[in-house]
Formats: sequence, structure tokens, C-alpha cells
Amino acid sequence: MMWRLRRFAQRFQNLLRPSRAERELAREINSHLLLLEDEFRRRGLSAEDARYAARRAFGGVEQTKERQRDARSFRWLDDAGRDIQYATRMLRRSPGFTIAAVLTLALGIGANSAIFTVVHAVMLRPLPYPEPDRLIGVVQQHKAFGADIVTLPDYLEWRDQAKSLTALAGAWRITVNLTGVDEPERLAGAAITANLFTTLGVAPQLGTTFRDNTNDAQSVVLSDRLWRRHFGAGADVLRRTVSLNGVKRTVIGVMPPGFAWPEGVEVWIPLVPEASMNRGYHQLQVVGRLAPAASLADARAELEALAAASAASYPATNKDWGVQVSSLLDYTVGSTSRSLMILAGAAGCVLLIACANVGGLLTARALARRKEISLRTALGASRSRIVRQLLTESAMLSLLGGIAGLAVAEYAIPALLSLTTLPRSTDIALDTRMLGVTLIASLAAGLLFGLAPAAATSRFAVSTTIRSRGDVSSGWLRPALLVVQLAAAVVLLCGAGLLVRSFYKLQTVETGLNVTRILAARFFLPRASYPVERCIALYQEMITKALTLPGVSEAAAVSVFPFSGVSANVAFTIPSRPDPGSLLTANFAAATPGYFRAMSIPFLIGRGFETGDSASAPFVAVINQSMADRYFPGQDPIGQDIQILGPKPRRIVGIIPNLRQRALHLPPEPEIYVPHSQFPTGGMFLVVRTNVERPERAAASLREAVRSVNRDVPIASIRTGNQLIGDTMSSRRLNLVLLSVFAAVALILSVVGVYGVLSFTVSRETTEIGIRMALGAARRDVLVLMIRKGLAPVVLGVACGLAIAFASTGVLRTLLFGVGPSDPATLVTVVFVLLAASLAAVLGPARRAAKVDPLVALKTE
Amino acid sequence: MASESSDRVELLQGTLDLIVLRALTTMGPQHAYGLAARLEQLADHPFSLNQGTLYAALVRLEQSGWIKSTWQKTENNREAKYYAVTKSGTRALEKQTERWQRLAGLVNKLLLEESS
Repeated sequence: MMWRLRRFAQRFQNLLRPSRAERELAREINSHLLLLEDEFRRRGLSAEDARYAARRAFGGVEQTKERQRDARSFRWLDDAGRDIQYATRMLRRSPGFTIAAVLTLALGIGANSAIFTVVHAVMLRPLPYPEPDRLIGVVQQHKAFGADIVTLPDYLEWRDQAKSLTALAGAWRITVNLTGVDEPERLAGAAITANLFTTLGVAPQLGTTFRDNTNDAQSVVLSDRLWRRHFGAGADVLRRTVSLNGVKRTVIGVMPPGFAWPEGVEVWIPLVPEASMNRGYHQLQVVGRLAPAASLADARAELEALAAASAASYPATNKDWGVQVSSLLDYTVGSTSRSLMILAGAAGCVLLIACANVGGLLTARALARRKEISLRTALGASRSRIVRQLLTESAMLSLLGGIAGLAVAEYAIPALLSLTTLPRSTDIALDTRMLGVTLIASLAAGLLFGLAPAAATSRFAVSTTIRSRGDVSSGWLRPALLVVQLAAAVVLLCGAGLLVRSFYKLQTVETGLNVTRILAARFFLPRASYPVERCIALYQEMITKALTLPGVSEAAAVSVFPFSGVSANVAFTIPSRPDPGSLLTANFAAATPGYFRAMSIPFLIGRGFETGDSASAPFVAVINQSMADRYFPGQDPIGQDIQILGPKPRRIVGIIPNLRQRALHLPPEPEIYVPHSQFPTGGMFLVVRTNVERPERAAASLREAVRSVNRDVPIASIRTGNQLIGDTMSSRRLNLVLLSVFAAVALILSVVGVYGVLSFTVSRETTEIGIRMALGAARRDVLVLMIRKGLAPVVLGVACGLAIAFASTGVLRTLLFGVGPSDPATLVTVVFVLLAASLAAVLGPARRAAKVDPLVALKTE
Repeated sequence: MASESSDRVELLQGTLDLIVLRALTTMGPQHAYGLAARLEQLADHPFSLNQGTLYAALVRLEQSGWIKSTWQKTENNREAKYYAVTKSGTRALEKQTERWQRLAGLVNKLLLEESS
């Protein structure tokens, strides 16, 4: 249709050059009016009367112009510009309102874009490997003990037999001392099967990788970061020799930037037969690539069948062990996704509350502006025009809020990441995508909270508003928004309350340990550089040296320090019981004689280690109560023999109480301690008890003392006992801190909302209150009435919120400790806090209402 | 706003355009005032065209190329903008009239059916 096109072109032209059409229109209307005047004069009216009559007959000149403009051009585009100008002026004129609204939105939007940035980086973005959705991760799953990584023999069987996989690779996380460089360093490394890199589909940026494990046994592949840090990113790094754990290795390749599998690893060496072929030793992280025709379900079915076959063939080790096959993404993200989703939900609640709050503010403002709006309507603005104008204002508010929110997110993301360690989080930052998402989200939020007030406002009829004070019908809107806010606040407060209670309960868990004045430094002396005697002697030297330090009262060494994240689990046998029926396992640690004293661990029965318990003396062990109860029920374990890591039996010489060592929420487990001299492992913690209030102050002198004993030993870390316990709580801290912050924001915003709504009601109903009082209502009655009015939406909101909380706090279950998801004490506290805060908020406006002087109130009318 | 004036005839979108086009065809070139006077005369029911209502219709028709305008002198020597139907306007009138009659027939039928 030509005419449509033509009209479009003309309208467009008029948009660009409105002035000509405008002049023409004015001229035409003027002529029209003159013609009308002529007509009226001919009918006998005076010149002046004729002019008025002409105007009346013509109708509103401005309305006519408006309508003609509408038809002649794309008014909305033209208007948008004017709306923005107008909105800017309005927002600038009430800075208090603008700042309150923008800050509120900034909190809501900032929280969401921070959480969403993290959620995207951790859970959503694809893994940085080719065809990432064809990659799988495999763990072994025990019926009772849960999931664990994979044993080498099981891995080898799967690799050789699974047809649904083109490749299956394994990596054994190790830590290595890098020496032979300027600054010795302790690194995260992995001993890997030669096919790891090809399975993932990543080629080195320099050199090659392992062809097979035997030919390349003395080779090493470096990460990009390590290459830059120690070798200045030079190509001459290839063929260079470095020393890892005292073993000389040749650098054959450098992986591309960002590559780290398993996460955090910086050096890769070939997995050689030193890895254990023990079917009880779960050491490999296993990744596979699906065969072209196979699905995840195929691989799962096949590996489950293989696991079932192994369980039948090797009942002693593989009984009750199945497999769990998941996409590599799920494998990597693991349980983190749950707590992130909870946080995303909580952030959503905060945004909802922020929107409801700003919606409430806007409604109040719109009501206050109803005269202005009626006037504009009278002057020819259509209803849709008014709505658009109001929406422009809220969109601008939300955009400002979005920009401020980005600033909030910029600070919040690093703060959030510092609370805990998340997988795939090393390179998280706001990027352009997040920028876009945030701005779109803010606009959507703007529409959400702007629409209701705009619609309500634009309904004001000209006649009713200008004529009277206008009893506005949209009085329900703000209380409704308030109910939404309070419901969301209740949900957040319940969640936060439950986590706080769990956290508190965890902190008061009796560990049986007193570590407040303990300092623990981690070392690793590789066997290649430190043979057995040297190793034992060096630790002894360090202990002796540490004891000379001022403020140090005890010093010892232990291979597994409580809450350090290091643990060792061993299988053992009891020679007096040839067939125990199942695998006997216990946690295992080697300790020097002074350890139990340094840690103030008492002996229930028997003795600790003595200097006489040397390598040549009879082998001894100390066990804990749990070990005695589980494996020697009704017997005296003292004097019994156990056989563990070697052919020589060990005699149990002492029993210590149960201690919580791995994590606060886990019950004590069976434990075996052996003398370090009889099990000279290279990886030990130097444990120092200080008699100072802040043991971390002794760290520097301890570091110095160690260096004076041996320059070549890197210290992996020095932590205080409390820091280590704190570290184990870190994954809880993320949820705890964020949910608490969100809940606090929710509480504040809701209380402000409660206050705002009642204040507004009071100021609107001043006359009515005056009349009531004039008719004999007591101040008390007014006070009660107003409090009731103020609390009604609160009670409704709290009730809704409780219902939602009951239905949803179950998702927190895995994060809780010692409290149920519908813990009555928490719920009661939340309700009490909200009601008390709301009561405090309504008291002010209610008092003001009760102080209304009927005379003044009626006179102001 | 205008919704409370139920005694006025609300014009369907586009109807006014058709009426104006038709009036211009029968009357020959005419200015807005002349058109408004003519329409008021025609309607036994008061359209109560605010006379200004016409302007939106006129600009739509002109932009579609169905009428064109020129400034001329009236008999009383006032200047006024005269609108005249173009060729494509004549064709459009035929088409639109036919469409309108079909629509009117349909609406009539529906209304009668419903009231019977």
C-alpha cells in the first residue's frame, strides 16, 4: 500500500522538522477561528462575543493541536525526549526522594547483579574445553560413606573396558616443592595419566605434553601462570631442568593461559607406578569424553555395570561401591550450586522488596501530584500520555538505580568471593554481558514498580480532583505492596535466622581441643632430598629451635593437624581377628612425642609417645575413644596389636578422648596416632603453643627460626588454630553473611515501608481524624485505631511470609546444623522482631494522629 | 476524560476520515471551517464535532496523499487552507466506501440477530 508508506515518510519528516508543520497548523487554526467569528458576527453578536463564541464552537485549541500532532508525526518518539527532560527536572527537584529510591534500587539491583555474575561464572558458562558438554566426571559412591574419588585399579578397568567413552583420564592431586628457582615455592600439582590433556582437548601453547607415562617419567608440564612467574614467559624454558620435591625434571611443555585441571593446579607430572594400586585408596579425579554416539545415560549405565562387576570380584574393597557419573560441569560445580541458588533466590527477594518499596514511594508521590496530573489532563494530555510520562520517571529512577547497583556489585563481587572458595571463580568480574543484563533488569524493575502507581494516578478524573480534595481510591495499593515486602522479608529473615542459629551451634560445638594459642606451620620434606634419618632429624631441629623462641611454651610436629583440611584415612587389620568381614579404616596421623602435651590432649588410659619409641624399638600406636568403642567393644584395647601400613604389628599403648578434627559438623571418627620416628612422613605441621594472646604475632619469628634451620624448605602456610577452624566454616560463611545482609536490608526497607504508609495515611486523613475527635473520640481511641491501621498489612504480610517460609526453608536443610528447617524458636524470633520493629515504626505517625487538634484540622480545610 | 459524555456519537477510528473524504468529494475544495459547518448541518444528531476534531483527520488524509491543500482567499477575502480530493483520493474513497458498507452490513446483521 503506497499510501501507508507515504504517510510513514511524512510522519517521519515531521518528526525531524516539527516547526514548519507547527506554524502551518497555528495559521490554519487562526484562520478557522476568524471564519467562525465572521459567522457569529453575521448572526448579530458583538465583536467580543463573537470571538468567545468562535472559541467555544471550535473546542480546545490546545487539544486540537495535540491531536493533530499525534496524527501528523510519531508523537511518542518526540514525547519520549520531552518526558525524559521533564522527568529529569522532577527528580532533581526532589533530591530526597530520588536519593532514597536510587539507593534502595541500587541495593536490590547490585545484590542481584553480583550474585548473578557469580552464578553465571560458576554454574552457567561452559567449561573452557572443546565440546564441553561431551565431558563427564566420575566419582565412586559408597552406600554408607558417600562419594569419594576413584582408585587407580578401578580407573584402569573403566578406561580399558568402557565403550561409551572415547577417553578416560585421571589426575592425582599432589603438592610439590619447587626448588632450583630463585624463590622456592610450594605448589598445587597433579600426577596425571598421559591422556589427560587430549581428553580435555587442550594443547600446550609451547612444547608438547606426555606421550606415555613411562617414557616421560622425568618430565613436567607447567601452567601459564607458573611459566610467567618463574621463567619470565621465555621460550627457553623448554628442556630446562627444575627440581620438584627434590626430583630433577625436564620441562617439556607449557599449557595455555587459564588452563588448570584439576582446579588450581600449576604443574603436571606423569602418574607413574608409585601411585597406589591399592583398591582401598581413592586418589584419582577422573574425567572422560563421551564416544560420539553415546549419551551421559549410556556412560552411566556402563560404568555402573562395571562397578557392580568389581564389587562382585573384589568384595573386600569394592563391596557397596557404585559410581556416580555426571557432566563435567556438574562434577566441577558440585554442591556449590545449591548454596548459590539459595543466594540467587534471596537476592531476588531483596529486589522484590526494593521494587515494592520504591513502588510505594512513587504511589505516595503520585497521589501528592494528582493536582498537577489533573491539570495536564485538562490541558489535553491523554491518559496513555500521562502513564508514559510517569513510567519514564520510574524507568529513569531504575536506570539510575541500575548504574548505582553496578557500582555496588563492583564492590560486592570481590567481597563475596573473599568469603569462601568457589570453583571456577578465579576470573570473575563484571563484564559487558552483566552490564547489559543489569540494565535490562533495572528497566524491567522500573516497569514493575512504576506501572501500578502510574495506572492508579492516571485514573484521577479531572472533575473530581480539581474540584475537591479528592478521596483517592488507590489507597489499597501501598498496603498491598507492603504485604509483599513483609512476606519477602519474613522469608529472608527466617532463612538468615536458621543459618545464624546453625552457625552459633557450630561455634559452640565442643571440639575437645583448645587451639586458641596454637600456631601451626605446614612443611613438606620430599623423600628424594630428605631421606628418613634426615627428615626425622630436621623436624627435631625445628622443634628444638622453636622452643627457644620467646613466648613459645611447647613445640611438636604432627602429620594431620585438626581442621587443616589435611586428612589421611588408612585401612588396618587386627592380627588376632583374621577375617573381620569388612574393611577396617581409621584416620591416621604421625606425631612427635610432644604433640599431645602441646595440644593439651589428656590420656584416658596409657601413655603417649616417648623418645624411646624409635624406629628400632617395638612399634606402638595411640588410639582415640571412638576407635576403642568401634573396634574393641567390651575389650581393653591397651596391649592389643593392629597392623597398619607395613608388616610389623603395632601395640596400642594409650587412649585419648574423642576430638572433632575434620569439621565441626562431623562427629568424631576413629583415629590412630603413631610416632613420627616409626612413620617418618615428610609432610608435617610444626605445632607451637604460645603463651601470648595473639599467636599470629609469633608467626614471623617462627618463620625466621625455620629459615635459620634450613633455607631450602618452603613453608606452605602458618595459621593459628582459630583461623583453621574458621576456614572450615568458610563455605557456610558465604550463605550466612549474605543471607544476613539481605535479611537486614529487607528488615530496614520493610520497616521504612510500614512507617511511610502509615505516615501518609495519617496526613491524608487528618481532617477525618479531626472530625472524629470533634465528635468525641478520645486520643487513645485514635492512637489505637491508627496503630491497628498501620499493623494490619504487617500482620497479613507476616502471615503470608510464614506460610512461604514453611514451604521453602527446606532447601536450607543441608546447610543447617542442630536446627530443623522450621525451627520454632527462629520463626517466633523473626515474627517478634518484625512485629516489634513495625510497631516502633507505626508509633510515630499514630502519635501524630492522636495529637491532631480538631480545630486546626477542620480549619485547614 | 471525554468518556462521560455518552450523548455524543463516538466515531470509530477511520470513520471520520471517510466522512471528510466523502464531503470533500461532493462539495469540491473546502476549508476546515466549511467542512465543519457542513458536517454539523448534515447530522440531525449533534456530532458535536468540536470543530478542531477535524484537524487530525485532515492531516492523516493529506499524508496519505488522498487530499491536497492550498492557501486561498475566501469570498470575504480571508485567507484559508483549502483541501481538495486527489485522484488517488477518489480511488481510495471508492474502496473505503465499499469496505465500510460491507462492515456496516455485517455489524447491522450482528446487532439485529442479537436483539431478536
